[in-house]
Amino acid sequence: MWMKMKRLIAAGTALSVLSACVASTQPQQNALPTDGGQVSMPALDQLEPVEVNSTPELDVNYRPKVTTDEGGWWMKMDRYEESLQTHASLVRDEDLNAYVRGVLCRLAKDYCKDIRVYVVRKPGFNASMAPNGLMEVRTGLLLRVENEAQLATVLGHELAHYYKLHSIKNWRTQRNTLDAMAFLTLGTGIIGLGATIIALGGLSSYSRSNEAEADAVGLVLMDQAGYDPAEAAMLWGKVKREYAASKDADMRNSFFASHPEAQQREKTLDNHARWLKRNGPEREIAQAPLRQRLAPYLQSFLEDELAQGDFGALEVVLHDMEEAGRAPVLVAYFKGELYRKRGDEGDLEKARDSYLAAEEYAKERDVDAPSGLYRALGLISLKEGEQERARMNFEQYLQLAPDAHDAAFIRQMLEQIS
Amino acid sequence: MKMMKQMVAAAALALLAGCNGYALVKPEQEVKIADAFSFKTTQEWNRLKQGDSDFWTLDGIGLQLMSVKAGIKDGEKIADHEKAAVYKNGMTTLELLEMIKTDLVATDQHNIEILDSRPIKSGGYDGFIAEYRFENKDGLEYKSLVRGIVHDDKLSLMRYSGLTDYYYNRGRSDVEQMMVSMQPL
Repeated sequence: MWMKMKRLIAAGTALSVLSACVASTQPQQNALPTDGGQVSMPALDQLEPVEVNSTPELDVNYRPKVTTDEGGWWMKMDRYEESLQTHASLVRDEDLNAYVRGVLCRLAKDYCKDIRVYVVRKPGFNASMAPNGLMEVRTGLLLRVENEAQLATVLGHELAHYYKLHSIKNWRTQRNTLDAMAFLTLGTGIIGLGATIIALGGLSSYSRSNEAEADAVGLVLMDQAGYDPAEAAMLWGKVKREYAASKDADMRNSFFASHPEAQQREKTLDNHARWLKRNGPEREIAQAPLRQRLAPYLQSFLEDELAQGDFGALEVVLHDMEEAGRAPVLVAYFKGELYRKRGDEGDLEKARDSYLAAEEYAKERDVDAPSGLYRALGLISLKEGEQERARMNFEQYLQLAPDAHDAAFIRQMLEQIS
Repeated sequence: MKMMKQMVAAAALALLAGCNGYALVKPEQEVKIADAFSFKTTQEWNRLKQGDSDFWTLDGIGLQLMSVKAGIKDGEKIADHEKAAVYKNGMTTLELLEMIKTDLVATDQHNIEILDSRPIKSGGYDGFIAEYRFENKDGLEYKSLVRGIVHDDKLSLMRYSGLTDYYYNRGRSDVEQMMVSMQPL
């Protein structure tokens, strides 16, 4: 959503109201160490006291008058929401929607009925909040969170944007700044250009303060709901490493980044979390419920990520899932798919090892390995000139998936081998 | 749809710039593409040449679109959009099939389904033909027929897509015949 923000600022368009978003959580790649950036944390007695006003700036059932600028934006967002309801990427699975909504309601309490959550099938770490209570959560985000507390981190952050009216405040600031820019650039050439750059920097800076406030308020909401706020810094650390490994150059623009500087953000989140937890009882992480609810969808979510071709970022995601012991068969299989499709030097060997690991894990757990595993092993064997091994794997594939859409291709290859 | 939009934009730009406009292609005409392959048309088509690519349509490229790209070499993109998949030497026909699906995902198509696919031989060269169904981001349903041939380590692709069912079906049988007549040069 960072890209969206950048475009919107450049154009000064109205849709910026939508852009108060977490993915804006994308850090600046060129500012990050490749090791993930270890941040030194202060001792407990050195924690900075945290004062956060988490009180919503709007009432339950709030709706602005249509004659105001805010009312106008709500109407635009209402129309967008109508179109979203027929969107092809909308996930309509009732269980999954109910689960995400349940976590949101635990955070939002009385405000829950004012927020509509839409789970959208899209890869990548992203969620967004519109001023009218429309929240979008990407399936790519659901793939990346390790537990319910991490999901609550993002939902709480988005909720904070809503509570604090960030979208409309930001829009008004942009409008005023752009008005000032128009005045300053009247016939002034270079001076006008300088003024424009300074003004846009000001917009970005304002947005950073929104994001910092959303982080802080989100942590308080998590804490009040009984979730462990320490998971926020953990999640941020994961996302930071992923974007450092991503091929997407758009993430490298540091001047206009809408979120607090990467390492500072991790440090601040950790400080706030430890301050909130200093005297309180143990908070919940709730790993098992999230894993159980998401398990049926992981394969399709990973297929979506793989199709993006951002192999560096996906490698980090799979590594984190592996470290967390999450869905070992699928993770090993998709590591194989990643290496096979990337095709860099040494990748074929890595792919084969990963597929074989997936097969082994499946046997250990007495579950089915994805049938595509044998097709992939056959293709690798074929490339390595191991025709007999290719034949065995292709036959195994056809045995498991005789009606697969690509069965004719496999049979053709078997004929060529024989 | 994104691909469609990009192509519509490309076509509009070309027209505005006074570059190549649409040309009418007559029936039973033999068309050579980049000295890589040829095929015969069946009815009148509107053709727009853009760089290495050829766009064909009956009613407008937002409704149905055939794109022809010939002689794609190792490491080259298979389409003209930013996230287009890259062809690599030594890909099997099965991997080519996977690549087309990846390319559809990259253009923001959803719920992609392969309706039919099979390996083919054309002029002694290996290839494939496949039919896909997908929805664009606004939920509109499209179908797509794709034929690819690898000859001399180069890939040639004919891809036809259209809004289901009317606009897709209007060109489908013609495209299929053109695909059958597709011969490497």
